[in-house]
Amino acid sequence: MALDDKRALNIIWNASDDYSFQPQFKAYDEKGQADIYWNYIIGAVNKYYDYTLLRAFFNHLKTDSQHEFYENLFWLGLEKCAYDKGKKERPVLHSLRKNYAKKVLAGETEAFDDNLLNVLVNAHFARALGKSPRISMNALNILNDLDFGDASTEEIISKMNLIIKKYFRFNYGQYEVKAGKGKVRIQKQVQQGDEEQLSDMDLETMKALYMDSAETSRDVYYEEIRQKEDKKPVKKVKAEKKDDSERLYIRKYFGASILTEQKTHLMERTLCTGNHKNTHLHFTRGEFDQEFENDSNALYYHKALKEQREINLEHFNSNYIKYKNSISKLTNRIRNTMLAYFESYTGKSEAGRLNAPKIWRNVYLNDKKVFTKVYNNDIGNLSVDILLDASASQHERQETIAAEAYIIAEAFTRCQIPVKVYSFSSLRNFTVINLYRDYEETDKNDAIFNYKTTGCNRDGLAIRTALHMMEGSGYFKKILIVLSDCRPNDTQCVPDTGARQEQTKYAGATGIIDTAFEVKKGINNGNSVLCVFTGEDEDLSTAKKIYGHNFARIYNPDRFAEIVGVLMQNQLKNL
Amino acid sequence: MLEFLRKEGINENLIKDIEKFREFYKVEPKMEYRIPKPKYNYYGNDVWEAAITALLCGENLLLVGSKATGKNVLAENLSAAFGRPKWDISFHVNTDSTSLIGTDTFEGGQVVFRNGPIYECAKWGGFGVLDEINMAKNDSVAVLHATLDYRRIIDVPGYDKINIDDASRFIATMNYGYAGTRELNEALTSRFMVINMPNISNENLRKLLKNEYPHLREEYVDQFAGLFKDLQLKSENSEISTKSVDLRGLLASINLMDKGLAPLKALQMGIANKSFDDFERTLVEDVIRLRIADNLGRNDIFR
Repeated sequence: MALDDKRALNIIWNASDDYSFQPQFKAYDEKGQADIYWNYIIGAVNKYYDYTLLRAFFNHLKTDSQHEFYENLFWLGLEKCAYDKGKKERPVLHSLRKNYAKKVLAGETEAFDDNLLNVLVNAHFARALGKSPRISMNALNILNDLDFGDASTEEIISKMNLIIKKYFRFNYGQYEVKAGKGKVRIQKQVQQGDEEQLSDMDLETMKALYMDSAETSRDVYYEEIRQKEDKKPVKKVKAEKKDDSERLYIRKYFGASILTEQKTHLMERTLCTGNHKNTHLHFTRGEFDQEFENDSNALYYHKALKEQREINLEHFNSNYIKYKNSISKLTNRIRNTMLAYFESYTGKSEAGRLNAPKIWRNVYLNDKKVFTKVYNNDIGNLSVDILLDASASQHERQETIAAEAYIIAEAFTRCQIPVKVYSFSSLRNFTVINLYRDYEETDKNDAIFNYKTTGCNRDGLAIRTALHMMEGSGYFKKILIVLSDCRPNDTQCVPDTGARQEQTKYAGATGIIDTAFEVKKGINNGNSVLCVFTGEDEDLSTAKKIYGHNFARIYNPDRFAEIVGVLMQNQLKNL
Repeated sequence: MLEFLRKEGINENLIKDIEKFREFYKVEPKMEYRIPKPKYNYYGNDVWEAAITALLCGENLLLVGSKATGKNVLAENLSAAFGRPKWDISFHVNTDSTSLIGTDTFEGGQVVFRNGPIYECAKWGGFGVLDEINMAKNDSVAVLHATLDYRRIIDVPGYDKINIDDASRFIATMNYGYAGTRELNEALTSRFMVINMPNISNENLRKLLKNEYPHLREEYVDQFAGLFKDLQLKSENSEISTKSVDLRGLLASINLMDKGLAPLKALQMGIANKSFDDFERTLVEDVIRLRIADNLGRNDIFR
């Protein structure tokens, strides 16, 4: 079904020439497949009319309990309009419409629960075939009024309003249809205005942020009291103190640091600059800090982490066969690429094995290259870093992401390529890098299932940090794979802009530009930066902005291995 | 060819300069067979004028563009317009200096040098088309550096150094980001003037179709051009790959239709089946079905 949904969308986009259009309706035929004609009509209506107005009108209709009836009636009218407008541009519509009409009259389409609607639909499409249907005078009048002709969007809406008033609300009680769930051919989509979507999303993020830490508020409260106590010292000292308490909190939440405090500070000094000034880093393996043995909050977080691990593992195990298949497919793909493109070859050389038939060249031509030598064109030492976005916006697909990361890591491990896997998320002003597996730890892929989402994401800083760590890894070729929904968002603001916090939040365009910049920097330094896009369609354009053509979109999890495989293949070939 | 350029409205001064060029640089009669007679014409005046100007000034050209943007058509058209013999050199992973410049061989008991295509082209003042230049390994193309820059020489160690004929030009083509291609070395890139080949515009595609198939009904010129545009838009939005956005396939399909194959079937072979992913193929077929009715026959499409 998901595929048909996508197919319907594609027909609609094709018809409307507008790939940003998010339709409220999609059409499926009696077999549940995307219906080409009706989806075309939906798209064409967006092309020829002002859909913002129509959307508002459809929403207005929804306030009525019989909205499904009115909606379908209205679509009949719109069908004729869109057909008339489009038939010149696409002569094929004539035959598509005729075929559809024949199907309706033969009773092959799904009937409506409402009788009048069935009569009207049948009559409407009988007319489309050039027949004159035998129906009551009233029905005929409705049908005639539904022919909007060459009217503008506003006129169409007012005409439809008139029809509803004239035939249904006042005069003809017998046409009142029972409220109930009719089998609407055209399925409704949840209405989402673009602006609403954003704020919803923000809310969602915020909700998820606190969802799994019920104790957080208590904690904040507690900390506030403590801060009040040491109010006296001068400003700077206070800021440091705050950092310390924050760091304590982060340690409690995410686990002990794997770097000494000094090293962490050093990293911060190099990395937390520019857009990321005043933020901090925390490197951990998610291991419980024994210092907090008696701290109920820390124990609680730790327990939550374990629970998520169980969920991740259970998801993986219940899809065991599918995922195992993906791993072996991806492994084969990578292996093949390496074999095909990094084969050793034999060539002429000044030293090596003597090539007897060529000796004359040395005598007569003074060519010293009369030896053959095997050139090992191996890939050199290659390393792969996998960076997981562990922000709350990924909350709903934690299990899938953990499984996907595991597949990639396992496939590279089987090809004897060193892999390092870590996640990032931001809480308060800390960006936490949670290391699951380092290059040499070939037996630790299992730790990837410790993946758990929380907090915001400062993609730019995370990528910068990852690239910085890769720089010192000592490997010759380096690939960074980011599994992300490409939605940089951190409540911490971008410093020193002098504007209010809401405006300088690390989100939207600011976040995207910053992240894209970091990616570009990485590529310019000779690394490969790829993205496996895990988010929603609406962020696809962002992914493109950040990663160029180096990203893969997984619209069908069954094809994960193929899609990621192709991405890897292209990357490996270009090394 | 010059007639065509005039008809298209290319700057008259440029055409006059080409005429002077042809006047000045004569072609050896035994090489005349190499002057191409193009099957397709390239449409797009901006690109034409840019390319002609660069070649007149003695520069080499690098044509960068995705599939079906007419890179090779333009290269062929240019050597026809300038009236120069043309050498086609396809690059691949194993391209090396011997396959470009030449190699030595025995002939009549003696070691002689057998000229490679670049050498020949340079000697006879031809136009060398370096097709898919970014398929080759960068170090193997390095032998071309002296050929392509101001030195204009080919120096074959152990043999001779030759100067490149004044009329010689090199036109490289590449498809950036294609599977199997690599990043072009900066030293090499700097030796070319680069033209970014735009996707064919709707208007130019219609011209092309009308020119190719004069008996195609006006209505279906629009439909085929529209179909191509629909696919292009879909691919630009990452809904499908570029596999099915195939101008060559479209033209070939129209040929099959002309021969009498059902249009839908022909387009399936030429366009939809180019994608081996089932779902993607469905999407492409939907696009086709919104342009071409399934019961269409040859006579509906052709006059």
